Amino acid sequence: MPLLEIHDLSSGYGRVPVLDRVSLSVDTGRIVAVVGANGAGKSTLLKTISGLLKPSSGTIRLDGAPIGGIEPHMIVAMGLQHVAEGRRLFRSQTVAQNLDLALIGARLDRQEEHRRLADVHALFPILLEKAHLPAGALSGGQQQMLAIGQALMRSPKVLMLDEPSHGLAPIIVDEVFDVLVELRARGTAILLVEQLVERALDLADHAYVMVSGRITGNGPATSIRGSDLVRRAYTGG
Amino acid sequence: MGEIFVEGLTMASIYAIVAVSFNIIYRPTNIFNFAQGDLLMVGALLAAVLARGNSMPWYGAAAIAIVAVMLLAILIDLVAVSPVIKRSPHGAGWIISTLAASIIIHEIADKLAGPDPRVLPAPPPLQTSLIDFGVFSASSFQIGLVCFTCALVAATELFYRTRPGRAVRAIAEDREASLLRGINPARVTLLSFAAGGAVAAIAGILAAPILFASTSLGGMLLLKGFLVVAVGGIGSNSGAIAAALIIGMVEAATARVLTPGLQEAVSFAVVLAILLVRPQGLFGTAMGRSV
Amino acid sequence: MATGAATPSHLIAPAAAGVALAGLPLLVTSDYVLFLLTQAAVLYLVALGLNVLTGYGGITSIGHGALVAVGAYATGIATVDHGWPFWGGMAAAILSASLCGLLLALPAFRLSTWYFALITLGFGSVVSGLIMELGWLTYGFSGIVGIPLPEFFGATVAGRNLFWLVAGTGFGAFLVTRNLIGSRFGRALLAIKENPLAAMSAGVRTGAVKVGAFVYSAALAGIAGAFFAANQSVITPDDFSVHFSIYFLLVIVLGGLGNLHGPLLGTAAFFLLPYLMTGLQEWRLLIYAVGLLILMIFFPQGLAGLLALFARRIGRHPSPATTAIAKAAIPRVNGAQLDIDTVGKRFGGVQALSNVTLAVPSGTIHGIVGPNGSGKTTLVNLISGFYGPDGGEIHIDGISSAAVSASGLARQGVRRTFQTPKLIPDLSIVENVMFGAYSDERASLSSIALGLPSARREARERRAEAMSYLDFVGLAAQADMSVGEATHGQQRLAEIARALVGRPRLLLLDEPAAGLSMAELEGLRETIAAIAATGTTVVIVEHHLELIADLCARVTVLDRGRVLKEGTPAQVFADPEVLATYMGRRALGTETA
Repeated sequence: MPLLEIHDLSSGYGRVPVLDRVSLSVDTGRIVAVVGANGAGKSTLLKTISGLLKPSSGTIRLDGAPIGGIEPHMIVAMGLQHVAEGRRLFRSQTVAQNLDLALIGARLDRQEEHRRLADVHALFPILLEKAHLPAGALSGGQQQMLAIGQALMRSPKVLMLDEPSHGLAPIIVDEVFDVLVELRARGTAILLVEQLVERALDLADHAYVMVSGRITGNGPATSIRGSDLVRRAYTGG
Repeated sequence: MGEIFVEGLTMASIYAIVAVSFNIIYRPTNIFNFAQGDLLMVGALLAAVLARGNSMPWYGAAAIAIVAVMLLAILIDLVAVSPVIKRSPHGAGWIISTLAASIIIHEIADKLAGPDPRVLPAPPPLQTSLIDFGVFSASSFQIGLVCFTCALVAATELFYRTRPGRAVRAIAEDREASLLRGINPARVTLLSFAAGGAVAAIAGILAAPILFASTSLGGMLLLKGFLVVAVGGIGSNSGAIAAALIIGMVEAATARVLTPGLQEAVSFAVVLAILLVRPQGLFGTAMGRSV
Repeated sequence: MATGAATPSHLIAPAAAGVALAGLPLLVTSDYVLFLLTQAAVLYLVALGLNVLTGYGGITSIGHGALVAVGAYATGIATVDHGWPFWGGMAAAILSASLCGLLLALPAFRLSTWYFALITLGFGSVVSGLIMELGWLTYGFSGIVGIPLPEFFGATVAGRNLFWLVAGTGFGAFLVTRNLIGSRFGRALLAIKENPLAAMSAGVRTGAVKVGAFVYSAALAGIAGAFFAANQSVITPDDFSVHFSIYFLLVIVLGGLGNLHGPLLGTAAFFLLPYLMTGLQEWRLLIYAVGLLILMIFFPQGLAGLLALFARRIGRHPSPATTAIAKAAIPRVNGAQLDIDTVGKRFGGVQALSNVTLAVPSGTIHGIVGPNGSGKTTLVNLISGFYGPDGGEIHIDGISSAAVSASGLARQGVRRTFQTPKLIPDLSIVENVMFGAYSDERASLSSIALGLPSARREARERRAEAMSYLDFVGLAAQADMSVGEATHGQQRLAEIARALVGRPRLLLLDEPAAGLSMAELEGLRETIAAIAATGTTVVIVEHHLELIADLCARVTVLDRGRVLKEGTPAQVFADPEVLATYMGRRALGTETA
């Protein structure tokens, strides 16, 4: 059974519908990419899965349990993390405090908390180095690493990332993507929304193409890569 | 001079506690609870009734009053705030609904307790009798009040460095991001109302030995507390202390130099003048990026 | 919910209600009931003004009762102590109440709404304190006795005539309020409440509009205060308790905030209450408050909202959703030359833009592209004056825009759209477009208020003008739709029409293609080309590269806040560095990893 399974999901903002009967699934230890032009509804999809938006119809299952319409903090507690677009950190708090804050409501013992922190530091050593700087003082790449690090503090079963390459230098993007590969090897299911299409398809196992709130095609990333589907999704041709 | 200073400092302490109680609720919710004055009044009246004639130890009466006001504050959140916010998150309906809650509490208290002021002694072993220090004279209660206010502000600021306290700051900074990190804002709002209610009750209980416990205490301190947060910058506790000192001193000076009846008009004029120059208050931050 | 359009059908219900109310006194024989009816008409005046401020402007006033008190006391003091006639007293009332309103509103320039609630609450408390304190002026507890009735040519207006005078004034004030709300001022007020950025981008001086609303509602409270004093003939501090201010809030919330007929519905509903509650005098405030709370929780739209909902259920007809381009002719303009010279901008620790230089010749279309977070929108915000640059200069037609506010630039013909369309939800599509002409409208406040032919002619012309721009973008069929019913694409086109109606010399489009369907995209492409053909200089920020390639003479590529490349679309989109930025290096084989 897929870890994250979405069936016929529709949602939107107020009376403006965005998602139109979207279905997709992500298995353990897989990276699944959703590609499509700006405004296609990719971010809306992630927001609906993480509970920021309420679905108007359809089902979302996390490890078999329905999570559609549940409060976001409950979904977090069930093992899903959503790293939003634009590195949404708590800028006035330090790097260490940002990581620590992600544990709120997790009810872990001190030892486990330390183990999680050490694990995140092992993946992103820079976060240990800069532990006592305010998050707002980090560079863009470091902020992205902190945002992902926050998500990893909860050892999520499913990790969703919205435009992790957003505004980053290519070499930093490599670093971030390498961590995603490592997480995949550990069995995390990753749902990736990415503007750097080719890079995303390079990394992903499977991909979905989205146009105007609908999934217009999907398949193994390698086969999607050369297909007309992607070109049409971006140019509208 | 000495009298103005002691009087100003005493009132400033009470106003600062009221302002802190506003800030505790405001920081995570961006809501200025109009019923706060009435919470404070209920705290003062309840403690005065319970402690009357030494029927109950002072601290026991205060504790019961504080817990009762906490529950009342939670009730306000559940009935008058959360449903209205849920309906329109960006609207200002909460202004009218918390104002309505304020009137309801005030009217019920008026029916139950009547308009007469009640006496609540200072917390033992403190006394309200003046001690002569040469340059000025002050009571042990006044000294204790000032010390308590400083301790309360320090404790509040320390709380904001703990994990739950930082969750409160996180919600204020980026509500959506804090949702995604697993913070439950409804719970934080509820707890903030409880804590803000407790501090309001304390403000009422400590104001009562000087101002007496009566149903008119709430309206007056609501307004003073607002003037303090407006001048100090809403959300800023250090601003609240500075602003409370300014307003406390202006009032004490007005009462001595002019007449006590003009206190309110003069401090209102001073606040309007300060807001014209610095609309965000002395310690407030101007509005951030909006586009 | 609120419609400014003054179509005759809108007037049937209030006219009928007016006739019914005017006839009411004929059925009444009791002086006391007549007194109450007159009092209700007085209170209606106050509610009407408060609704402008709170309902339309979103500024909650808890001190309106105190403004009435100021008016009543000014009348009392002028007539009783100084022997002025009633009308002189009323002039004093209007003046003093307006002055208080002005004083209270001055911090309105930059403060958020709940401050006003408390400032007005404080004002109420200060006024009642001063009435007691200034006994030499106000006679303290005993109040002012013997306030004269109004006179007309020596004849005293009393009884039924007094009711008709006050009710007539109320009807006049209703017409003035309706005219103002339906005008650019009303649209500006709504825009400030719903979408302050849209207001600024249409050239509205937001502070001045808020202060105007405050003074208008205070003046109405002053008029009401004068009639209140005359009707009672005695005023005491007890008349102006907390109840009084809360009562007005309850009336407008019950009637329906931001609805023209809300105050009338609220006053009429509440007129019954004093009867029902004569035995419950002590419980009145409690009942008011419980009523307010229940309304806010369960029915914030009030009675008028309920009626509107009912009417909409009956008269609903679906509007066609077309995107065909009609291209009505729109006037030519002289496009502006835009020069950006080494501009930079920081937010906290992030350098959003650094050293950006670009020049856009008059009448051309310039594209700005780049990955998310490369600083494109920041650049639009700098050009349109929403932010000031940290370094460098922006010149429009050779004139530095450094010291000009966003609304000032909008008035000078620099117009923009937003990434997510910022329309005003309470207005129809055509009214939203009319709002764009805010700074061009010439009719004076007084001619609008009085509904003079010149103002009405201008209103008609503006509507026709807005329609021609809607026709231009292909939205003529959706003109009367509410914003909520319009699709995302239609909202975008309406926002472009709103910007166009200001005859922009420079038009900034922030991601106009985002979220559009294929068909809508084609319409957008033709519309932008047609806009440039009228002479307007156009700057487009866009992800949709094909659209940029088709339309733009030149393209600037931003990457992490810097200009990566500038040139013709053909040059830029063939550049390996640009491709690498967009698609990633590994993908293009320019880098081995």
